[in-house]
Amino acid sequence: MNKEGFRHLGVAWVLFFVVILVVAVSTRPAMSGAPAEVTFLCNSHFVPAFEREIEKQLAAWGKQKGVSTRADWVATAEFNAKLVAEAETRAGHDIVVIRNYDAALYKDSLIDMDTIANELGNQYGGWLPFGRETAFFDGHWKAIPFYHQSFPAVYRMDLFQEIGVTREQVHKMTWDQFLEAAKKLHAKGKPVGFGISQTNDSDLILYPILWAFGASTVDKNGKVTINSPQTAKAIEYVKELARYMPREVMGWDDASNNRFIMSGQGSLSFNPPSIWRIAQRDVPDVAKLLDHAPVPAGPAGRFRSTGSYYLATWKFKTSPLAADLARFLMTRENQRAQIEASGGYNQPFLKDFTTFPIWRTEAPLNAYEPVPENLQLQGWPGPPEKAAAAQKAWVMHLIPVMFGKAITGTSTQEAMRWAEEELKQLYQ
Amino acid sequence: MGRGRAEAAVPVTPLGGRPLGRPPTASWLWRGSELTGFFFVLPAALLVVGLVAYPFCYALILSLTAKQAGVPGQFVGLRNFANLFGGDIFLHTIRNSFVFTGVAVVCKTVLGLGLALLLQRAMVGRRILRGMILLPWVVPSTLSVLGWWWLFDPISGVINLGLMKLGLITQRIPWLSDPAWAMAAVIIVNVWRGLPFFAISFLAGLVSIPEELYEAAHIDGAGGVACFARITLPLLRPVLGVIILYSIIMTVSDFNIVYILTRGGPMHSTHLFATFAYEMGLASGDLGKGAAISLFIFPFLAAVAYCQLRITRRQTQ
Amino acid sequence: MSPLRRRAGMVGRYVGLLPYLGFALFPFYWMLLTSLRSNAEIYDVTHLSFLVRQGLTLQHYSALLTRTLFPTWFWNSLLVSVLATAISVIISTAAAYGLVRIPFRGSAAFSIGIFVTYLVPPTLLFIPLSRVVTALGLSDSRLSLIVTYPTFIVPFCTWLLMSYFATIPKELEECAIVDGATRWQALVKIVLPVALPGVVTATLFSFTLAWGELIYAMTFIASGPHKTLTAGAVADLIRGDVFYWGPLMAGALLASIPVVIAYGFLMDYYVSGLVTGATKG
Repeated sequence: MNKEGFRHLGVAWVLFFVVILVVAVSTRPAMSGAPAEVTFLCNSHFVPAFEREIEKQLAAWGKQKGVSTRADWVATAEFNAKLVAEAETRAGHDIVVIRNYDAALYKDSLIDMDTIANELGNQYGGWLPFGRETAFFDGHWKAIPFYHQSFPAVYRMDLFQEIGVTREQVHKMTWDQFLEAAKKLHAKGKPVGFGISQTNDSDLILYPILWAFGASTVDKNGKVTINSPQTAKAIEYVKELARYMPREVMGWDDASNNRFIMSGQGSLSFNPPSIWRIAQRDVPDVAKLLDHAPVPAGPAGRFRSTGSYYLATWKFKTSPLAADLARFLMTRENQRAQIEASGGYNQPFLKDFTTFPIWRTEAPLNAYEPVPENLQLQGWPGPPEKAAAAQKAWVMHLIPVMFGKAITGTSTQEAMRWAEEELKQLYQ
Repeated sequence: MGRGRAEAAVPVTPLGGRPLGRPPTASWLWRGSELTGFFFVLPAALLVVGLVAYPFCYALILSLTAKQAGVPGQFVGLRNFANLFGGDIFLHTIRNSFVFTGVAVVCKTVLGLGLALLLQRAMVGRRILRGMILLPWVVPSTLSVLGWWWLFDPISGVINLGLMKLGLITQRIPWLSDPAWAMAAVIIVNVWRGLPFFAISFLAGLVSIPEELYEAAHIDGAGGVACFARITLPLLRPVLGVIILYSIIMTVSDFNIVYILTRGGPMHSTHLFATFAYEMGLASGDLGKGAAISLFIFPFLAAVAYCQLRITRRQTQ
Repeated sequence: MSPLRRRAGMVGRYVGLLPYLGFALFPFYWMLLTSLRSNAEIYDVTHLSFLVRQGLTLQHYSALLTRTLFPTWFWNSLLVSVLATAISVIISTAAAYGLVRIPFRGSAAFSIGIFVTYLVPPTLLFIPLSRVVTALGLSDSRLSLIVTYPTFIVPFCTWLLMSYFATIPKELEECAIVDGATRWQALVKIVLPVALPGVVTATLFSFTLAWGELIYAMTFIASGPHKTLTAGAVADLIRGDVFYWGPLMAGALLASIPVVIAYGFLMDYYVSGLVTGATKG
């Protein structure tokens, strides 16, 4: 190509890059020359009103301190990916709301929060034990427990009445009584149902069942104990129970039990109050008949599991204001406002807050909070050092798959052996 | 996601590009041609090296380290790959990927060819027809797959309700709760999404077959089937080859459909490499393992890509 | 063939198309129906109806347009997709032309290299890419997408355009070059008009890919006003275990409109271009 050609091509490319530059300048976010913007990351909450409340509180705090604030809400299912990206790129939000065992997984990337945690504990009656178990690692508080959302039973009072079980009886049920009720409800065409599939909801009820029968994935030293007579009992129980639940529970996602109850087809499931709240909006006739009850008890006790959320700050974020914001969000007035905005869905970690009136004035929430059962997270009773393994076991839904295999024809022994193999891989 | 891949092609002019039969006086055209060519290709080269090659190398290194998100990793060689075979979930993933890809690509090919043949002769309302057929492919998959999920829903899904009303089934089909049916469900959605692309590509291939060939065949008394077997298929073979191989690559690495419909379940029976890698790598922060899973299929895809290259090379010769 | 047979053949062909059309369109019909039904009717499983029974409602569309940032997301997606497509197509056209017409040392290796980048999935690339994005200071800006989308669009388009350029006879340009035109002029004035259908196809495919992308959109951008359609819809309309089906389906349909329009207008051009190319070639 001759010189003229080069010139043409050269001019073309220069123009091209100039255009890109113009585009770049115009679409870049305004230079946050305000080094004083404090950002907050959380997964989108099922109650939009809670998000508005948080934004309000952030703005109020920001005004006091003379900084601007911003809350970013990311889709729940993709939230983990966002956390990984922030940890890896060492850039992100000033406060991130992490979940379940994230504090253990990311403990080397998070700032210690001992001062605030101790202050709050002293001021407000102390932390729930499992709050400390899931946020205190390597001798320090790595995050401030923010709130949790646990999984009681949600059921139709009228249908249980029809089979002769009163509300009081439902609140005190054992798993054996539960099976009897399930049989009768199945005969009436209104079965009970909970997912036995690869979704979080399944873990959140199947672990409590394991614990109620005295079984667990590991013991407190981290040794895998899933292959045991207690587990076998739990598996046999669920196999029997599954005969009286719809077949589809093997493929349910987190929203299936919502539709199950709201459509009137189901008589009971296990879920936080989201089903009840949405029913109040969309199918009020069904909502009127709903109540929440504790999880049934087994030979080893009554257990409930939960999804928990914590306020944390990355080590690479050196804003001193983040800690102050965390403390601000945890005061009594603010926690109460957050809980009320969420319609009682959020549950506190600080003992004093468990007596807020919202759960007393709304009858269906009486059994939701304070939590009467033994409240634990999936890795219980495993040790804190093995929290990463517990998280992986949960993410891979090993326990629901184990039950699923047993229900679909694998022998109980074989199902337990499989789970043991998989867990050993994780807990080595 | 819903990223697509390309068909292969190779440069037609031989390296060193001296066109045959050109008088030597035109050789000045080619002097400095190397620099010219490089100049044309420069931005693409920068893009690929900076934003693809570097991340790829990084991912390769990741797969050889034990790395938890946020924590520096240590080199462990091939241990991540070896560990994959410790449990049977990964073996399931491999099996699922082959079943999923095999069945889906065959369906798309056969149905796509049929659709292309039908579309070729349809004259009235051609534009609207083609537009409607293309719809599944152009709509963002994140949203359209959600629509399918609603259709398969165990409680209010209209597919079951409709089939029951028509009397074709008596019990609801456990679309998403039975391993075999779940695989069928994800295959159906993949075929639904990919069929338009196959059909339109085959259509383009069909349209470029000169009419004279068919006319000559008719004059010689050949019927429809003979035309198809002797003229259409052989002339379509390069297109078929390219599209099929490209689709194999795209289908094996599919993510959205399985992720939204089944999350890899029930009991890991629909996990593909991409979804399992996501579960291990991102949901639990074990980046080394996630990278190992993603890269595992790479040699296979490279082999498929190589076949595709060979076909197109043969085609241009 | 007698006119009657020909007519029967035509009818047969259209009848044959019906199952395909049904398969392709039924999910959209159902999505449309869901977006127009009241919530009570959506959750009602006792009645199955293929029409709206309890009264058409536009509440989901209005909720989508007024109570979420849908219009903003829509604009962001449009901006990002159009710019990413434009940049990608320009880069690819030049690269494809260079690789096909002007071989240089290593061009064969480069074309294979481009192809190989295809085999690497975004679920693997997005972590290192997010490091690059952060290093460039593009975190949380739409520019991050405009810069990263070409990474998967350019390889695809380059291949596509290479095969188009390969089918254009070299004589066309060579005549012009002998007459004194530069390579650049040859490309723009002679090759491009003939290869236009290929460029149109490449543009359409690029736009489709960019429009529907989710993982990068979700990882690089967190703040509401900057989100694209896919990321925003997934974050705001799917909250934990609550799905806002009505607005979700409405959003899915509205999100399809630009792409459908683009294909609607340009496809005719593309196919007729193909036919012309075939008869001339």
